Amino acid sequence: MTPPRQNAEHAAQKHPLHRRLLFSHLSVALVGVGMLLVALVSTYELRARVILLVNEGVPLAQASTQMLAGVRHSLASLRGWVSLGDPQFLVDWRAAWQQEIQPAIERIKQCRHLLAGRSCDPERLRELQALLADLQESQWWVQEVARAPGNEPARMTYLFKVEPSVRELASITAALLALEETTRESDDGRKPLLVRLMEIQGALAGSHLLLRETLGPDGLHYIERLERQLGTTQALVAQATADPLLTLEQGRLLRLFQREWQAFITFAGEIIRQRRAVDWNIALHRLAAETDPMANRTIALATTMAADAKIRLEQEADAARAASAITVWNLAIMILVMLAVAYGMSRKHARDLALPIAALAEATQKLAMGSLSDNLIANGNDELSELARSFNTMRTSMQQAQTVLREAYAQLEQRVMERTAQLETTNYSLIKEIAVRNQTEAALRESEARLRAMTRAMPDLVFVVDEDGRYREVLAAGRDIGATLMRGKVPAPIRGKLLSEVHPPEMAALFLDIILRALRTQQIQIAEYELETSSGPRWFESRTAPLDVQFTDRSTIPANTAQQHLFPPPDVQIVAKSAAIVVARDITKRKQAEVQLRQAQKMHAIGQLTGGIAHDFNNLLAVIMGNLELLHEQLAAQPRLHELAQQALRAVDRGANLTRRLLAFARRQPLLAQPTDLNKLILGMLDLMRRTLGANIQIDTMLATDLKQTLVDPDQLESALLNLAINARDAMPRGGKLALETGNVQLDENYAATQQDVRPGPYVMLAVRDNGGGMAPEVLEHAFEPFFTTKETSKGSGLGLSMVYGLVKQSGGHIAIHSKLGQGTTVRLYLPQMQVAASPPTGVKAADTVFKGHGETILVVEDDTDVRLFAVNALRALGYDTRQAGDAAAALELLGATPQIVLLFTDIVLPGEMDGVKLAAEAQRRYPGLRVLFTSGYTEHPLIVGGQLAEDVEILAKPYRKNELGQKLRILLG
Amino acid sequence: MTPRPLLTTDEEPGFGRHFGQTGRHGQPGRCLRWRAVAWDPLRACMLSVFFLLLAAGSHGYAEVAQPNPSSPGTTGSDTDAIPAQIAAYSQDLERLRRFMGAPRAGKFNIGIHSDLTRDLYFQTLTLWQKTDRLLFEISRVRATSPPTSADELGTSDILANLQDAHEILQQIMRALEIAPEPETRTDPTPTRPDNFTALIDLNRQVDLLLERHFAPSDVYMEITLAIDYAARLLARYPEAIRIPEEPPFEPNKQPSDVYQRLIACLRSIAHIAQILGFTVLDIDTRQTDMTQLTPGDVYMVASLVVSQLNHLYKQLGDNKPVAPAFYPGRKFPAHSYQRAGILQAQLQQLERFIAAAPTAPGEAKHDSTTPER
Repeated sequence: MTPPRQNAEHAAQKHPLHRRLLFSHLSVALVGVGMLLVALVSTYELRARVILLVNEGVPLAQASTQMLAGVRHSLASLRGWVSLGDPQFLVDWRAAWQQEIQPAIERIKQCRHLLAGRSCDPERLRELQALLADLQESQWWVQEVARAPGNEPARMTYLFKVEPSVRELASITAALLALEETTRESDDGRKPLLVRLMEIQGALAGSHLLLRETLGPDGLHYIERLERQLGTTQALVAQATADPLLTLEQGRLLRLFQREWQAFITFAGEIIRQRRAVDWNIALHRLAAETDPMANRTIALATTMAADAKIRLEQEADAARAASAITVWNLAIMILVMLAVAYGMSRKHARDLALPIAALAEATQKLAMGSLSDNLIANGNDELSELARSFNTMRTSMQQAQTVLREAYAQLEQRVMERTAQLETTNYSLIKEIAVRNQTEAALRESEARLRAMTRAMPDLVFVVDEDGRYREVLAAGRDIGATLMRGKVPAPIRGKLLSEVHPPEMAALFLDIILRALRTQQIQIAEYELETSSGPRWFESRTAPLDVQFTDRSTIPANTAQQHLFPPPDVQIVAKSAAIVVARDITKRKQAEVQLRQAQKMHAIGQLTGGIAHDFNNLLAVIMGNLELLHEQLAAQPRLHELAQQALRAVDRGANLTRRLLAFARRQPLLAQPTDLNKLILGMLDLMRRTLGANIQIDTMLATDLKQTLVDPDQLESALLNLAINARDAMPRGGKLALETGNVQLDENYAATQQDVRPGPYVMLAVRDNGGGMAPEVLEHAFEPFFTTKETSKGSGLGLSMVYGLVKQSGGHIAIHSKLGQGTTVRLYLPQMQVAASPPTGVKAADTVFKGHGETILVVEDDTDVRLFAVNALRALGYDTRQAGDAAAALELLGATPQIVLLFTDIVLPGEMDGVKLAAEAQRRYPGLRVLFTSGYTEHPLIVGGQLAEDVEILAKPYRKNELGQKLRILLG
Repeated sequence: MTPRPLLTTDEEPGFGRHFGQTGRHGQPGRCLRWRAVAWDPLRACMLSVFFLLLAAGSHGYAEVAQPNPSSPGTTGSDTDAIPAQIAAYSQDLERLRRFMGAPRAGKFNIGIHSDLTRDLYFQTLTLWQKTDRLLFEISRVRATSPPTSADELGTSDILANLQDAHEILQQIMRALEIAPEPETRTDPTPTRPDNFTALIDLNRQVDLLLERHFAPSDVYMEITLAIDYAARLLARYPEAIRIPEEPPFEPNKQPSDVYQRLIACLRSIAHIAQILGFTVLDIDTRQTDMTQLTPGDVYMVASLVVSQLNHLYKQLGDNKPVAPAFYPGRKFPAHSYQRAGILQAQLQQLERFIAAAPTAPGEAKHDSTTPER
């Protein structure tokens, strides 16, 4: 076996070109590595110097500057405090130490490397620290003493010695003077002594004053005067002591004075000495003698250290620059050397390599041109000779291969031609197939587009739900599918969601049941249901149809099922799901309309019923009233019976009022519609309403300034408004606020669509709002029904709102009521606006006084015998001549037979083909000028159009009183 | 030998009082302040001697500090004379009290006891100051301060102070024309352990006779002086904050609050002394009735603090003299309490530094084997 090392040597000998190249590259690499090492060493040194400069040099310089500034600041602040006593200087002084000097020292101490140098040794730093500590201590002491009383010893002497002494001297002097005053009363010759004592008192005061002056900043200027004053005082005391006028007691006191005076002089001398001393102000003295020099030493030392540090920094910077320059030079030299070596070696090897390679290139070109006959010369033993030999071998092989290739080419040509023919045939059939397919796809796209357009146009919801209750497709989303289906949640795509994720559980179960039923029966399932949506409950009608398409689903097989053992690897399988298509339509409006219709039908039926009853009842009342009136008149002589008849008449009046309300609700009362300004009507009623409602209800009006007129019976509207006001009052037993508002409003199509009997258009609105107790929904539902009341039995008839309802409807308007428990009630009457200006009513009211006739003949036509009899009696009582008939035919005969008849008084409802209206028309046709007065229990007749009397028609509603009849007749007959 | 402490400002006790200087009270021109002392050749010579002694080791100090009859300035007769002198002073003081109609000071346990020479000396010095203040109040003159021993404190110094104080007392009696009583034998019974208590009682009694009692301002001055001493002691440690930040002012403080803070300071000093092997006074405040404490009592405690610090300063302090105390104006116990807070912080630092390095930088630990007392 050949050892590995021998193999390598053999390879090296075998590949001398390889060895030469390797050697060449290694040489260049060695030069490069050497250059890099030199650069690295130089850079490292340079880096260390730069780091030192950046990390310590700059901070050290800054900290030194800061410290010097801090020391100067502290000194200045201390001087300010000592001189001026402003506490702010103390604050500044502390700040200088805490914020400048101490942080600066800490920063300086961190510059270890720079301080380790010879120029800034730690010993000097310690000395600086000690100096600073001494300086701080000294400054602290100065600031402590500066403003203390003890700062000036002279002042202390004055405080503790002179002042007590002066007090003592003053009290002795006062005693002497008092004694002298007492003595002088008995001896007038003692005046000189008194003068002397007073001189002593004055001299003492002067000495005291001058002594105090010496304590001030200019105290030295007073010392000489003080000494003179002390001498003067001393002389006065001596003179007084020798005065023969002194009494024994005065002598004793004067001795005491002398003793104290000696003490005073001593203290004064002490003060003078202290004041003259250089350290008369301890703080200033210490500041000058110790603190300032200490600060100067500190500043000098710090400045020296800073200067040394600066020198050190400059040295470091110089060294860094030198290191940088050396590095640059080293690198330049090494680069040149490396370039030279690389150039020499590369040149030699390039020459060795280039010649054989050029020969090889030439041979290759010949080979490419088809010349396979020339061999390369391969005499050497290196890789290039080996390459030449390989080239020759390759050339030989290529010659052989070329021959074989020509034969194979001929065979291939033949097979290609055969195959091409087959492909052309296949291609033709494919082109035809693709054309058919394109047509199919186009048709499909067209169909899909139509479907999409159709579903987009649909207002309904269209979606596909599978048998699991999962939304598969949403084909048409209606107007607001999110708001509709997401139960008020934030709208989100519902595709892929389960029904139970979108709807409440019970609704989801219902929907799933419908879908499954449709799938089971394969028939369309229709359902109606109410869904809670974000815009409130809405009704839907859904049509669910089974879909012939099945949806696939990827479901995971449970890991422990038996199937896993049979088909272990796949854990996902495709499951086909049946589905149904659901078309849901929002029928909320329809539902509401149905409810409105039912309500309207109900109100209409009630109206019919009440109208019929009222009509018959009116006839009865007419008879009763007529007879009672006659009876009442004839019983005038019997007061007891007369009163009973009067009571019966009042009861009939109430009955008549009741039937009028019923007729009003049933819209069968004759209305005298006039152009009416609601604002004026309301303003005219305010006084009445205030009296009616009482003081504890405040009436507010908000009347539109440009309110249009409306056509309505103003009397009836007043009555309706009063009814509403009374209802409001009853709803506010503890008082409250009633608001009356008018305005021009426009009821639009949308609103009209949800209401029964409402035509869109302009209306005049009258709103009556109270802040009373309001009504519960179940009460509100029956509010307009006659005889429905929530009041106590005796408080309300239940006809107020019914009458308002009937009036508004009869006037072609609309009424809406909004109420919530505890939030009050608002009733809005919408009356049609008058489109053209109408002339004011011209009706003339007859005077109430004279209703008697003058014997004119009147034809009474009435099918009810009792009523007719009452009418005849009444007319006669009024002074008219009468004829009577039970039907139209009899009436026409009578008219023909009695030309003096001037007025036809006929019931509107008459038996037979001709009613009262036709009778009147016929009679007036035959006898122009004949006047007509209609009467009726109610007026459901073309004569009354929309509840309004036709023009020039006079009617007297049953039951009527004789006086009313007389009044009408007088109006008609002039 | 370390010079004895004395007053530095003229006449008024408590004004700029500090220790370690030469001079006499009431002698104009001889009042030496720190600057004068610093440049006084004699002072420099004495300081040199002091440092030589320190360098020679603390054993020698222990020998000289021993206040026994064999120590300098102490004789057996002096030791015996002290109780007699105290008794004589007490006798005359009682006559003066009766004459002045002043109340008798009740017995009071101040919570501190010591029979160390330096503590007795400082109490006698306080007695002298109070007696001198009484003399000034009555006869408007000041007495001459007692001479200061150039050597280590001894019983002779105590006796001298006592005699001077007694002389001042008799001067007062003469001024008041109180007839001298025939010589009576004073009771020499009180023994040395009782001298301290007797001096405390006398101090309290004299304070009651004064018109201007020893007030919180005097306590304040004494504490300020202690702060100066502590700052000098801390100057040995470069890392120390010599004058810590003043604690916030807390009003409504009583003398008892100041007393307790000063007792805490004394305990710190005792701990330091224990580390260094010094002997200090005994503290036991369990029997002290805090409600009876007066500013005069607190002043006595403050003076004891100063005496302890003065002792430490002599042993450990640098050569720079302490700053003189100064009259700070009207102060309340709350001010003294606040100021004692600075002192407390200083002593806590000192405790820490000394505990960390019992042999302070450049100094040898005082390893006296001979008790001072």
